[in-house]
Amino acid sequence: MGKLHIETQINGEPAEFLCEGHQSLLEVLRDGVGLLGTKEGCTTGDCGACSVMLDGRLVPSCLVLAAETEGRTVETIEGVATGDQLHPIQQKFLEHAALQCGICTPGLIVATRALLEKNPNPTETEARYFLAGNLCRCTGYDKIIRAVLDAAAEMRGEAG
Amino acid sequence: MARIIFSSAQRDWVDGAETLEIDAKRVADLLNALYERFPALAGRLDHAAVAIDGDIYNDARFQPLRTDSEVHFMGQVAGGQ
Amino acid sequence: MSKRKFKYVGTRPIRPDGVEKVTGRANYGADIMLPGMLHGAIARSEHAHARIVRIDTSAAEAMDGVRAVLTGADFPDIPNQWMGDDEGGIDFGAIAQNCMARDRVLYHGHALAAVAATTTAIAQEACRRIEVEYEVLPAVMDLDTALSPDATILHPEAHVRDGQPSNIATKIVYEGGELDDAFTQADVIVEREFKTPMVHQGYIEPHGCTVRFNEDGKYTIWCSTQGAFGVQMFAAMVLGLDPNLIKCVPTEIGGGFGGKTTIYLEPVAMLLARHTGRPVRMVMTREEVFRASGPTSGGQVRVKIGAKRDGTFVAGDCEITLEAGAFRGSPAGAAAMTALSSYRFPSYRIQSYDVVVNKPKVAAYRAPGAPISNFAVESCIDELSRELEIDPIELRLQNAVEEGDRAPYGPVFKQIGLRETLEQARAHPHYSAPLGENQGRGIACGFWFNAGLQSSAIVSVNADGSAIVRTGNPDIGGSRASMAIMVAEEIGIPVERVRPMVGDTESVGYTDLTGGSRVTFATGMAVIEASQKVVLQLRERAAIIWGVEVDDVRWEDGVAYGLNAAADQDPMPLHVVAPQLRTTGGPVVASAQVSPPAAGPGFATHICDIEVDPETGRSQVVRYTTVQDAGKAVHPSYVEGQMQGGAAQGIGWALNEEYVWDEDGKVENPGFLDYRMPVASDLPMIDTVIVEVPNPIHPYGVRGVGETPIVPPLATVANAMRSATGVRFEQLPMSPPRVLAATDETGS
Repeated sequence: MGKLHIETQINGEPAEFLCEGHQSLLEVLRDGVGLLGTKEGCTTGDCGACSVMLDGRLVPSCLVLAAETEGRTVETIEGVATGDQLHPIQQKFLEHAALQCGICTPGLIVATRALLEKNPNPTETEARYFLAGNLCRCTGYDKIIRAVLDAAAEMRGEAG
Repeated sequence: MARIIFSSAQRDWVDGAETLEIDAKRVADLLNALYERFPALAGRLDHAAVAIDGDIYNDARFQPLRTDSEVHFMGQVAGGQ
Repeated sequence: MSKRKFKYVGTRPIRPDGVEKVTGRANYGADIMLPGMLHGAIARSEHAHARIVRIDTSAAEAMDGVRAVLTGADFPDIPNQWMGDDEGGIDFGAIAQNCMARDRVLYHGHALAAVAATTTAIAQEACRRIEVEYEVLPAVMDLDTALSPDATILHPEAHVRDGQPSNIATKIVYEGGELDDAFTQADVIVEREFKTPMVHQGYIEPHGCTVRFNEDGKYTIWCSTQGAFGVQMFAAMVLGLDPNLIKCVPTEIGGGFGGKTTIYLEPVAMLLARHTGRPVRMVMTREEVFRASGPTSGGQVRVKIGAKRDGTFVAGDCEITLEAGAFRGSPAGAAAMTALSSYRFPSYRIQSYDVVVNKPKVAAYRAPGAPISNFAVESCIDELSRELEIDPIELRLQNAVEEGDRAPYGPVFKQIGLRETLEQARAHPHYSAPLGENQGRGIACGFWFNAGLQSSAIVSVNADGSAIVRTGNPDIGGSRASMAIMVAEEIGIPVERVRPMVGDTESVGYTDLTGGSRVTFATGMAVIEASQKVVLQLRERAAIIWGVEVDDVRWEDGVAYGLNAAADQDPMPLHVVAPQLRTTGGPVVASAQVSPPAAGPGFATHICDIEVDPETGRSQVVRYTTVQDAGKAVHPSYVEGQMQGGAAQGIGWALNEEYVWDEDGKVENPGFLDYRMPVASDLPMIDTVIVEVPNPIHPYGVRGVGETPIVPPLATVANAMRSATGVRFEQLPMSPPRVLAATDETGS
């Protein structure tokens, strides 16, 4: 059986790749397209380290088949910063020391951006429940949630 | 004279002594003196961590001892994190 | 030293490696891709205990895309030899057999063959096609079974007790005073028995490595590890190689907590790379991480404490039994050392047993052993405070160790901060806040050592006046930022002008692991010393420029000031000196190496409010405060991060985490869905209070902070549950079914 030829859009640019039918988007992003920022923590959709956006929806890329991205749009951590500027979410994560080992950080940043697109003014509880699908073992989530709420305020144009 | 304080488990190897005073400038000399005095103990403390006046050394062999140093032999201290 | 006014120490600059990490550019253990790379996978035991009769790899070898298949027969035989003593040590034969079974498998998931293939999927399928004939042996799956008189003995030659082969690998005893006598003097005695489950460190990044073998016999290992020099040595011992042939490059590490201070995949990948002549990448699946990497011990702890009516502790008796897993090496020693050591017990006995069972070989987990014995002892102290009707903080203050008190494991404490953390906890608004319905509050104390061990550092100054600091410690929690701060402080340049780098085994001097709460403490000492040597060199350069002696130059805050013969010179900042390094003697480079003792343990007091739903048994931590003595917080945000992260792990251990075993000795929950770690919605903000009682042997007073935070939470949460439900939980985790069963029973 030959490979499938998939044409899609990744981080705003056209992309194409060959893949087997059974390969996950996570695997192809990392081993095929060379975008290593999306991380593998579990391959069962339980940890959120592989979070990406598919047609504007937050998904665990380990549970999406690469072939499913044909004709659709994918956004990964590599597309969050624009040009030479960090996204406010990235900046706030740094300012609040919201990362220690950093392995969950790409997934969390993608998920946070999805949260704030849906709900620009979340309460602490709303933020915690939205991000419950992103495991972090290092921080205990305190500084992450502070960074998220501060980024939300900044993106709303309020003083941080 | 360095003063060694033995744990309850170690006392069996030193004829029941709770403490001993031994003239030694370095831990290596202390060990040699102990092993000479108690042949059954020979080599048994080579891998022990050594607390000298409260500070625990994992590699203590050539650590100097003061005239009134208090010495304990104990398990290595490391960790996870 | 505590009076020193710091300019950069204690500030919160953005970490130097931050941008790479928030953009996904940082490379972790699974991110090293080399041309021509093959993918490795491991075939694992289907039984908890069995002799391997025969392995047939022919079907695997015949598959398209398979380039090599290895079994234990392809690995050198490394003899079992315990190097160390009762309280700690290592057996490289055991590590070798753990990486690849030889004639016996000792836990479900034990590696018994490996495949290298052109894709991971092919390698994994090939592993499934390897046929193994087992002679199944009785599995020893818990401590009671291991200790029963007719138990199957896992290692009959290795462990003999009272003349009989035994599953008890070692026994440790600490004793003092007159125990029996002391208990008769006690007015109140509390005696309980506790059980804790096997739990995993839970790092989100699975183990991963890429290995290249060069035709000249040298290996390069890229791997996620807490210590590259450790990987180099362990791999050399396990494969019978000269360590000089092995270069280990540590990638960024996605969590370790002690679990990445040993090796699993690396020697296997090395042999596959040598056999195929191609680089080989191996990454564990999450399931493999749970089945086959080292968790920490499950345990049983019996505690008996006697006290006077006025609250003075008179006697403490503690019996600890820990699971080592398949090979000797549970943290029985450290569990014993820390069990009673926060308080004065004039009479005490601590007995600790390391017991082998058919479970994965345990590995270090953040303050190994201490949370387990602490859970039991602090729960008993809580019961004592209820019986004596003395406030739990008052009772602890009354008995808390301080400078001059002797620890049960021998030495006398120097300056420590337990008392200060208790006082700050008592004064904290959390402690006196009103509780709501179905809520309870608990407190507990704990500590961990900070290891010394060996570190080296190199600091150099560039012509533009910026600096570089090189150490060998993988950055697991923000340590690069702290190294940069220390160099900045000593030399007197802004933190942003210091670039810290983490070296491999060929680019930096030997350094012991990132772990043991030692990096800011011990490696920091090397960094400070190297920086001070740099300052001396800068003074010498200024002296040359001014034509005076070095004693005529003072260096402060990045500026050279003239004294004596040079008193009339204008102050000369570094950016004026630096371009002149060329003409005044060349580059400015200094190195330092240290091997300090473990000193100045860091104590903590935690407070937890918990709310229990009586219908479902589900509990929610509604407020949590940690108070910890950090000696001197170099970068307070990362100290707070350690306090919060350790507390979260402890909360998970207390409330939800446990390995669940089926009757065949197989883990039933090898994934994050059913191995339930805390998620963002489980926790509140975690309040942190940093106390600073300086560590007498560190130039800034730094104490290690990384491990102490996981020690008190198990008991803190259990004591809160006691307060909320009226039930003393003697078994962890306090998951909803257990809470319901216990509260239904008591009618609470």
